[in-house]
Amino acid sequence: MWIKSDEVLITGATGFIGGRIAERLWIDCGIISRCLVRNFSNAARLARLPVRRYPGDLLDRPSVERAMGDCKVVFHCAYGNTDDLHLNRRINEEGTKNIGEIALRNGVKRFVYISSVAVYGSNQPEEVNEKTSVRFSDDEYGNSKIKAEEVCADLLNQGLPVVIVRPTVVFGPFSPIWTVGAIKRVLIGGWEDVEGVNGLCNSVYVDDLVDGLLLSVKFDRAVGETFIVSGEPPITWNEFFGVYIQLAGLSEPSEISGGKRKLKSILSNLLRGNINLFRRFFEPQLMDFYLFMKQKSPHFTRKLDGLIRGGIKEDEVNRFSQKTIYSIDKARSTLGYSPRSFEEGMRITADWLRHHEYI
Amino acid sequence: MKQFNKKGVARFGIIGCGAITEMAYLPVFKEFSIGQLTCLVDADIHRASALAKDFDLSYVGKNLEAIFDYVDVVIVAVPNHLHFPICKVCLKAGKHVLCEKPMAMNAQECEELISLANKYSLKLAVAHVRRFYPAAKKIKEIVVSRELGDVKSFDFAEGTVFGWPTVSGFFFDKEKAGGGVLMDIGVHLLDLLLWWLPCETVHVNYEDDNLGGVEAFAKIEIRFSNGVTGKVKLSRLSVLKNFYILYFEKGNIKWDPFSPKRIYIQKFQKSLKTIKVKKGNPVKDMLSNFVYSIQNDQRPLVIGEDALSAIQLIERCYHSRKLLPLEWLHVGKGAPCG
Repeated sequence: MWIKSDEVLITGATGFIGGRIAERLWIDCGIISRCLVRNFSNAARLARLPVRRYPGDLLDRPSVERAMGDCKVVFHCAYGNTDDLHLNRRINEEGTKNIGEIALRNGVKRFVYISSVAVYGSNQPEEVNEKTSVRFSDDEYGNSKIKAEEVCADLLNQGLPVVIVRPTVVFGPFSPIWTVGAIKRVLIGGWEDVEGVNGLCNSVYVDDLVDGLLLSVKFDRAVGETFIVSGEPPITWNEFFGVYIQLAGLSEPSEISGGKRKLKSILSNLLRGNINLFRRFFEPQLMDFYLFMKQKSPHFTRKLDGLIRGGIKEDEVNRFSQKTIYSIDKARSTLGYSPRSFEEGMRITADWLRHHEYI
Repeated sequence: MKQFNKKGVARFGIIGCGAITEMAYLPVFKEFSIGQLTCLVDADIHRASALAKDFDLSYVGKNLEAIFDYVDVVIVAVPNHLHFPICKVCLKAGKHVLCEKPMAMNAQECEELISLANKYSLKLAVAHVRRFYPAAKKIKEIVVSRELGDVKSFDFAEGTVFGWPTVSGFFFDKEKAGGGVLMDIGVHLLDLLLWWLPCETVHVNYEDDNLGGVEAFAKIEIRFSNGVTGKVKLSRLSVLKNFYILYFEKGNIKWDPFSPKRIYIQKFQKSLKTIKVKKGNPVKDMLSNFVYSIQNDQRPLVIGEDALSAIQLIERCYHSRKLLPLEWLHVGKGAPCG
């Protein structure tokens, strides 16, 4: 099917992936999207485009109905990312149910749900494809995505033309974790080469993901299917962060033992705890001193930030050690999906990082 | 000296109950000896009533005309597109006006308000509050004193991820905001620039990332008639270096608008010197300055003509606008559209 202006609703459009979908629809073919906006404070990027913004919330059905209008396509990117786990679950499950039911009633032709490979849980086999069973784990985000996928499966059974897309590590312009977060992390020495912690990073450049999402609308054979969308081939996490280290103009970290990593992690936890205690009483003075030192000696404040943040944390060891490869064969064969190389994605990302003065 | 009432206290009404009123003006009125808040007006009566709870007010409601018996001064803090019509009504009602920035959507509207204020002999000030930062005043002193010689060039960058708790979201609506980061943050920055370096602008080169909405990132190159040149960079999407740097004949000064208590002075062949100034209460100082200027029939620090200069420069930028060459915007493989 083809998409037309005013017939696409994007949830989570003020976020990283939803924002890029809106940009691509406008830049590539002049399509004006309808966007459900929960918090206007986050809308600066989206506001560069001629989109229709509808204030609302997935948990407020009338607001979703207003935003839906006569839409034929829904890209459902929004998810609960508040500090309230219970609310997040409601947004992801009840919210998906709300928008899905309204889409069903309105005769929406394609409902694309942006899930995640986090649905496969924390201990994954070496090769994962769409047939691999999803697994609940201690990862709240992944569990919540499983629940939302279950809602999508119900909606599909009721007749809503659902497509589920499971992206891997999405990097590129505006990526909060894997680009902005990653460069900030390496700038303060937050990535370290730990003996035995060198799993595989299955990353995808944001525009490749958006290509996958758009292709899932284009082809009717996508309906009812789930697709893993990643770049290929996977690289190691050391290689992934190594690019950011290089972009930041820093030297590669030397390898440390697992024991040393553990010790550093304990120290940074202690330091963080004490600083938080001090902040309760001396916040203005500490900030004043910090900003002063940042000007006088940026190297010192960077070191301090690094000490406070620490390197690879305990709960990250498993993620960065896994050697899983996510297969994109299905997306390739069914949708004609064809991602660019990691190097090309990173070249564009580096340009963006320079523009925004991260490097 | 003009006496406002028996107590000598100016009665203020605020039109617009958005985040700026809640966060900047109301805290001042809780302990403001020379001004008393008497009225709050907003289209959203619930919002106005909620903000009014800590004050003993003569009027809280939607009707602008209803406040004129109770106020000497009106603060106009509504979305940008309403500055002009509301200021006009207030001036015609014989009230002194302190208008939030930007003063209006374009130079023509600014000029009309200025002539209206002159016609009725009223004070019209604009809330370019940064001129009231002690550091901004100090920088002005340094420039005027020429202790570092003449200014040769400048390099200003201000950017942070937008997080203003906007109540209406008007910032992102072109029709209501009149522009993006240039109109919002740029107007503050350009006002300071034109205050520090009052000179005719002879050349402007302007680029931004607006794709049909309002810009979130902008770059300006400016040349003044006295030969001073400089660059300005603004962002709502990322944290920039956040320094205003003025390069003089004998050194340079650097100021971080987000850490406004310190000015860094680097004289050539000398070590970096830091001047620490008071944090102050710029909003309170601005209101005091306005009350004082009315009482003594003096010029407020920021008058309509000052704000007009900044708006004229902004208009010039928008008229010469080019799209920033941003490769990452155009690297998709095409959407399935007909």
